[in-house]
Amino acid sequence: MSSRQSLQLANDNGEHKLLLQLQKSFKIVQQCVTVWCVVLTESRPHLVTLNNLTEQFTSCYSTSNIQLAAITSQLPDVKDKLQQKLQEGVDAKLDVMQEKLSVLHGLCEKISKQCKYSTDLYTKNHVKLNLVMVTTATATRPSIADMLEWLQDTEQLFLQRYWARTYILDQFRLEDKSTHLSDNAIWSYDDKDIQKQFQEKLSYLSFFLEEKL
Amino acid sequence: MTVKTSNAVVMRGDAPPPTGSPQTCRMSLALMTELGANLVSLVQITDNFQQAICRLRVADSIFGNYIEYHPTVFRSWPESKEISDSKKTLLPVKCKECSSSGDDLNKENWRQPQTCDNNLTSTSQSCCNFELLNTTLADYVEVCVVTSIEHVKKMKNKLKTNSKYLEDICNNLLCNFGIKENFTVDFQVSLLAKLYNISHLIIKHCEGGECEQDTNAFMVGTQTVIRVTDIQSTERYTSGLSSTASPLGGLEEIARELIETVKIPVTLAGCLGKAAVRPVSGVLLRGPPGTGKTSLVRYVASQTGAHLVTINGPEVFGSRPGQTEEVLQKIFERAVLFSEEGLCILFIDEIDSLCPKTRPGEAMSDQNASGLLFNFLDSLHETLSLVVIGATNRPASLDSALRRPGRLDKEIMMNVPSYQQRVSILEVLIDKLSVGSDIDINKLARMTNGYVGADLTSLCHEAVYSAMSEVSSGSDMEERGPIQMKHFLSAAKSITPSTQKGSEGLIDAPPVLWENIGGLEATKLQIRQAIEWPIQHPEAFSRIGLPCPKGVLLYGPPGCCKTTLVRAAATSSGATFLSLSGAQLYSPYVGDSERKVTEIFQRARAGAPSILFLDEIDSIIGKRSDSSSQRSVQERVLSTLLNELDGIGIRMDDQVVGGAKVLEGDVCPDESGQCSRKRNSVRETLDRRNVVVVAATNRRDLLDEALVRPGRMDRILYVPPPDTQARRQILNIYTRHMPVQDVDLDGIAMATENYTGADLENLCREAALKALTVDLRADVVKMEHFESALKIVKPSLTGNMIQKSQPTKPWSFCPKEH
Repeated sequence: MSSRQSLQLANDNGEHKLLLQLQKSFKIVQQCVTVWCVVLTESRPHLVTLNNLTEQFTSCYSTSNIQLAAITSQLPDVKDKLQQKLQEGVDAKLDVMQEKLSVLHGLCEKISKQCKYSTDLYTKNHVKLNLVMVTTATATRPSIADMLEWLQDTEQLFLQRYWARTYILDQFRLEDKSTHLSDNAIWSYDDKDIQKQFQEKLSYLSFFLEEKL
Repeated sequence: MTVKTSNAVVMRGDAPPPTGSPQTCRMSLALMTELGANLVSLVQITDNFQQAICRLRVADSIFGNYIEYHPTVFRSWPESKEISDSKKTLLPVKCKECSSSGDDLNKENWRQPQTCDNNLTSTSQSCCNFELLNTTLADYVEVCVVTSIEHVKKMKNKLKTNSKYLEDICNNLLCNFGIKENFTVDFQVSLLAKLYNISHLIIKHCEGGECEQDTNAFMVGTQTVIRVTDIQSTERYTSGLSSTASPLGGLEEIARELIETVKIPVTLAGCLGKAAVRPVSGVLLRGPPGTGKTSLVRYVASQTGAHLVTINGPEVFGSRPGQTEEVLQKIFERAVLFSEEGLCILFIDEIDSLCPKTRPGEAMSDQNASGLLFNFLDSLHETLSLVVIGATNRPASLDSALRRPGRLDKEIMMNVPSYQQRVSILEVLIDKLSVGSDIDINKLARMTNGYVGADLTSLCHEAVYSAMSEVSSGSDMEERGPIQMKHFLSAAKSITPSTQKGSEGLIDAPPVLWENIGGLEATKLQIRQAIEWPIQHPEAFSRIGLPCPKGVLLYGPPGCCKTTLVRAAATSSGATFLSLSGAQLYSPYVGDSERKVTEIFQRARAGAPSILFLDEIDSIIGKRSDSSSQRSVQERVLSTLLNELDGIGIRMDDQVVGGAKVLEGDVCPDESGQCSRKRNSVRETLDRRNVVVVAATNRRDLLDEALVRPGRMDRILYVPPPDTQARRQILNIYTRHMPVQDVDLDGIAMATENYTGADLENLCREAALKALTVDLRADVVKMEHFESALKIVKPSLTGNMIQKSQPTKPWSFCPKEH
């Protein structure tokens, strides 16, 4: 049986459609992951600035007026002004971070949508799709079951990272040192681990993504 | 679909997986096809421990029938709580579906499970049931948030001020989870949940879709509305999951009392009105080790739903000064936090190490901890939901300031269990084992006099081990039989009750039967009346209104088997047998001997009914003399003994038996048939807990009058030298295992006037030796050997001695007046 014929057969029970959708989904997810990394890299200098500003604020906050006596004699409200300035700087940076977060949110939604489309398509056709067929991998592509699973796992992973970042940013209070981002592991590294995980899966998918279905 | 463990490789994780998707069940293709599942189905897995909801995925395993799942979304079986881990290997657990074919299953369960993955353990359950669930998207979900105790207050505030925030984070956590009502989602390994400080979410209520079936599960999406109804602490939740509410035998009365103490102030808080002060905020449990103080508190905590905060006396001590107080303060603060959430019991085990009695001149370092504890206890009056329970086995060494009302108001005595309590303890213990039909619990309980709960547990373990060692020596594991009575009997031999361990007077006397003592029928009867009857038939004594004798004095010439008679009485009565001799008693330290006497009486009371035997009492304690001005050790020991026998009472803290509260639970139901008996039952129990002091001497005249007065040594029995008839019987007994030929035992009995039992034994031995001297190959002992032996063995008694030791006047039995 030629590959054309087998595809014809696949077309009948929805496998072809599903494969097409999966290919499309993975392509989009691949893009999303790339953008995700870019966004995180972009936010890195902002994060450094933010940490810097918060550190300055903390130091300023904890300095007593007596220590500043030499300066305050000439400039009585220097501390308040400095704090005000730093606060403004922090707020501006936080806004930038929020923007970055909203980009990440958009990416998450894209991934979720793709995951949903693929799953829905499978659910719609699952009666026609033989369980053996969907769990069999070919020389060029992994099994449909594996691909669906990867898609779902990726979605969950990215959502979790996004929520964690949102939560930490929400908790941020200038006065409370424990909420500062410099101590936080999730904001400090750039999701290298999940990128790597996805890349590993992509290496299985490279033929499938280039295949013309 | 039901899968038997024996037919498949079933791996069940104890916790959610650290990586990957949490709610997953991986199943091999064949099983999935059999189940009719697809790649998006949710399945409900029911095993013997819990129900779990999992998302089905295909496993890439080399086994054709492979199942691996993690109970992330689970519901515990309430009835499976009692199955403890240690028992899993002993008892094949039957599943509901398979109980019909139980026998085959038992055998299969013994097969070793196959390969194990790294963090997975093979389950020992016999089968799991798989059920496909219809899934609908949930519209509305009510959850209870479980968080660590430090965050409960904060979360509660959040719930009041900003519930939307809490609902959002719950939605994030639950997104894409398949859930059902009353199931719990475990987030202990989730990174996000750790950030949120949430450990579990309990699903209280679900709504959504149209179909309302039992097998219906809900998927949580981003649109699902979540409402947080309650906040609970993780500690309380997990302790509720793991607590084993196994009943305790023989402690029902005390357990009920404690439960009431803990619960009533909270349940009746409204009724008490303004006077809502906790009537009892502290309880002291005291009693010998192993009586179940700690397990009782655990049981009470699980019954009342109270959270248990435990302080182990020695654990809190730090090396740095002030560290102990710091640790204690932290624990107290925790306890107060828990009490704000609900009922809480602060249990201080071995409280005597935390609050030792302070003597003047001692270092003050330990008193800081005591002071802290007192302060804490004093501050508890306003807190209704916190009870402090202390446990100790040395109440005498506790700081008395701790035991005043307002601190530890109530004291509960935990006894060495009585016969009836032992029966119920054994029933509970044996109920967990697979035993044969020949187990006689009553007999076991009768045998285990003086055993505490821990000893009985140890007895059961020993029995299990002896049964298991039989299996391992046998060829096939599958031929495992149930545990039989013989295993228990062999186990009983190797266990010494813990109350008697390290005891001065504990001896290993060879058993002697009444039949092994020749003659002395009248004396035997008197001894049985005095020692055996009160222990074996206490109800008869109380019916007649006869108090049990406290002491029996045996006197008579030496070698007339006074000691043997006591041994026979101990054997036949089955009582704890303690013996004290002068050599054990006297020590070079002043006051040590008196302490030993007190101690041995204490042990005798703990192991009651018991016989305390004082051999050669005239050498232990003599007579008080007027002449010497300085009191000797003997006199001090005598006065201690007199006090112990019939003094004003027993020192409160040394008391091991007593307290009317305990005795109420002691009433034997097997005698409750008749009302008159019932009325007397409390007194019977008192009598049953009797300690009989048996003393033997051959110098009656050397004894102090105060010792032999009625009320102390109630019965004074003369053990006469054997008469002709008795000598004949003694000879009979000694020649029982001797091949004698043409020996005229009657003649020998006639000729051995003034011979004691010991002499007669010597005579028989000499005769046998004579026979061997004549010819080493001799196989019979003849009359001539006896005759020549008679020439060597002379009587050890003389007419004068007998005259001296005979009673001067006939004794009379006068019961002590009550």
